[in-house]
Amino acid sequence: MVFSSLVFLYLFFPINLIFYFISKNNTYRNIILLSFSLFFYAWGEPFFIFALLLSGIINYSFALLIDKYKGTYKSKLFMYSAVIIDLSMIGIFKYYNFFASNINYVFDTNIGLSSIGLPIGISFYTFQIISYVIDVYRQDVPAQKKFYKLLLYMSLYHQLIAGPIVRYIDVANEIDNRIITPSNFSYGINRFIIGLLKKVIIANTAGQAATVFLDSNLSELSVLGAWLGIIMYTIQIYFDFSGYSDMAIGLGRMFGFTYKENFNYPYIAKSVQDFWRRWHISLSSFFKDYVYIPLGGNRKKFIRNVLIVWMLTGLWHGASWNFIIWGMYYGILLLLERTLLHRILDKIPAVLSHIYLILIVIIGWVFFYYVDITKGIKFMSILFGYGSNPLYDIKFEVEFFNNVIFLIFAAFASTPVFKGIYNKLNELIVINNYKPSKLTIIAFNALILIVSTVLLVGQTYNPFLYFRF
Amino acid sequence: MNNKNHLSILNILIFISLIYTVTILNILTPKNKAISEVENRTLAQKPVFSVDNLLSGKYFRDFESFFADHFFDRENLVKISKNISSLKGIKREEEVYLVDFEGQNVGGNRNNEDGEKPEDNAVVTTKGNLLILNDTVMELYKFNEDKAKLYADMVNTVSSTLGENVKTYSLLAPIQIEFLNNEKYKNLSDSQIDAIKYVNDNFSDNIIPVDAYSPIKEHIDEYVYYRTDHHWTALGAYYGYTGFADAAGLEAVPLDKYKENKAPDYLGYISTVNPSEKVNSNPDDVVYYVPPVKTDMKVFYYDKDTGEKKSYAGSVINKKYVLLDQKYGVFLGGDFALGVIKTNVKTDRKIMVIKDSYGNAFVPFLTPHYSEIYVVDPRHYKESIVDLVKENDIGEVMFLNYILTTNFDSFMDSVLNLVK
Repeated sequence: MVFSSLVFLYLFFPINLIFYFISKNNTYRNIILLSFSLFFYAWGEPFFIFALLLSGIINYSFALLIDKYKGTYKSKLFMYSAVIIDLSMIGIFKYYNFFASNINYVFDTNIGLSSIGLPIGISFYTFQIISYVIDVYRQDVPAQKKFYKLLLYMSLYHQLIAGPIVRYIDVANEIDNRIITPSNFSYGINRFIIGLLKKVIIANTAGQAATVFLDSNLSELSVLGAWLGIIMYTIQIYFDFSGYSDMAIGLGRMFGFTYKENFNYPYIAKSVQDFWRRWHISLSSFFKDYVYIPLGGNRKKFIRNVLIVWMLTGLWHGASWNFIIWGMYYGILLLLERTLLHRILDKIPAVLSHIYLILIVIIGWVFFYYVDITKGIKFMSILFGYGSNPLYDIKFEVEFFNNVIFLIFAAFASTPVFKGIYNKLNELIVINNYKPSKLTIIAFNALILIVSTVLLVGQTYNPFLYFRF
Repeated sequence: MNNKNHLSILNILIFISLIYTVTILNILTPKNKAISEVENRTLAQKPVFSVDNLLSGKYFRDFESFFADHFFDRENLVKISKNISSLKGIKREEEVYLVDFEGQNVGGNRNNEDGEKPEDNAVVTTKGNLLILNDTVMELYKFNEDKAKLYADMVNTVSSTLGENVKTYSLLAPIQIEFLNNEKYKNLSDSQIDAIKYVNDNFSDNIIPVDAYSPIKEHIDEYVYYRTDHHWTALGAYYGYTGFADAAGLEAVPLDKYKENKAPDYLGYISTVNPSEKVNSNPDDVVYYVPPVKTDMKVFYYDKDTGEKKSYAGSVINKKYVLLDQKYGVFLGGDFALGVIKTNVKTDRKIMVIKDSYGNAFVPFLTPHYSEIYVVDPRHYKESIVDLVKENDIGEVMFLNYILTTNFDSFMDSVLNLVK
């Protein structure tokens, strides 16, 4: 189930709200939330719920042992064991086929492939639970004594399927004590609606237009068509993913949890480094805190560390070479920026560094989109005008004019412009200590909910992109 | 309580009441609707619970489709959603859309007539492209040399298997994009005259090509193609027939010998995939012509469950369809495995037509010339056509398909299976 589906909005969510708010006591509320979360997960993966439960039991037990032997070598041993078990589980489910088929290819062996499939959300919940055992080992947070509470953290449906990667340390307190105020709940609604708008109105629309070009016969694709297609995909992937994070953060607030921000207008970044501080923040900070810094950070073997982190970042996004290339592309660019480019980027006008970054990102999405690398290269050569593809064609013209208003809107929506206008209005128009622009938010919420519902009914195709990871 | 809290509570109240109003309206919406006429498909039904279904995730997936398909006021919402979507672009002189679609290349059988004609399962899934230009939906054609060659080879193989005594005709019907008087959009599609020529050039000497192209081109300003459907109209088929008459040495019966009638308000097969309301607000008329001869038709099909061959009495012009949604079914009553038409015409000539649904509007015009007409749809028929020809002493065979069928290799495979 995804948040932007009719069955979530008009069945699961309203029922969940009723059960949640008729339970007065926090323990009951936790149990309700846990049950609904497990049901939510089972909706998509009735079988893999066992993998999730198993992972929960193992990490719960190991964390208790880590806590019990804290300060001794045993604690370290248990921490490493838990991390190795977690990585093995994700390795088996997500990477086994990738490695086996590559080994088969290189050594001409015949290792059998698995047909189990990938449990939804495994990349997210595995990273969450790894951060938990490491944080317990580091004594940043005490181990959770109650299994159901740990399982609640792991399986909370707000972030289980597509992030953000919430750290236990950030919600440990809220599992036991949360206060839901009208202003929190109302903020949660605002965020949820923004997420719905991003996903249903922007990402799905962009996605439709993107596939028209990206999935078409590449030998007939025009250069401008290729650009329009990849720009649409650039729009789709940001609004899809950040929309999901907004909905997660919004739902969290409605139920009393505060999750950290996951995106901060990444497309207005001025460098690759800046971009990765704004894009999928919970993932990059995970790699920074649990891989990069333990490896030595920028103090020792800096280049090696950067390359390892970015190879892993790529691999996290999917078990195929194109994602590794995509990760390494950013790793190398970061090294380049650190060593050479920063001198240039610091000096040139801001507008040029914006253009530099957005081009880097758009080209990056080519690697990301095409799992088939030869196809990706072919597409890239069209983008840059190699080969005999025409510059312009009717397909481009038709799609461009049919989407031009949307494109302008989406471009502005990728920047803080709308937020800025709203804040300005709030400042300027104050009548009797009352801010009428706040009322417009309420009307806006109702409007977006209605429009999104109508569009959802109109759209049959509605999968979340980030489900693959 | 301060202002901020007032606003928060108002925000919550409006949000919650919207969510619960729709939830309740949804619960109250009856869930027994089986078919969506607007979309030309069956709606998902409530899934059957079983442990297997549950564990594989199928139960929940099906439930989700069921929930969405029976959403409150769904059909109106779908329409409104089209209007909202049209805001994303700017209106130009011409309203143009290009749509990729995946469809099933089987026509006309959804409206089961009291169970007398169950769906056959030889469904060919095809991918295609549509151009929507103002109020007209058009399929686009892409020439594929290998498949066009395969089509010609298929006709050659059938012809040589049937032997020289059986005359073989081939009619490839062009689609309307070929005749569009807007060069810009016409160029989205490959030349059909070249493709037809290519196929004809690859025929062995025994095959007599039928030129339907020229007479249709000559009358292109008349109502020869639908705006909402990918078929030719009966009038288009008639002009195709005049081409056939020339090739077969027959004298074409003038159209005024037929009794003309029409079924209004037809939204055709491809109108469902279009994003524009302009098309839907301008439906077609299905004009049909009742032959001036007496006909008697028997339709054969295979029972869906047992595979047993069964038959019922059909009719060349099936007026039941005038009132149904799939009005193109008025011609022969849609697609089926085999139709045998006997006429009161005094002649020994018998013909077999191997066809896709373009054949349906065409076959009624053959009735004045033949005593028996065998209509074979290779997507459904499963028996030897060699036997059929021999047993019934059929002297002529015509392949009648529209140009896109030369791209469907599974269609060709189905035909070849009939001469094995």
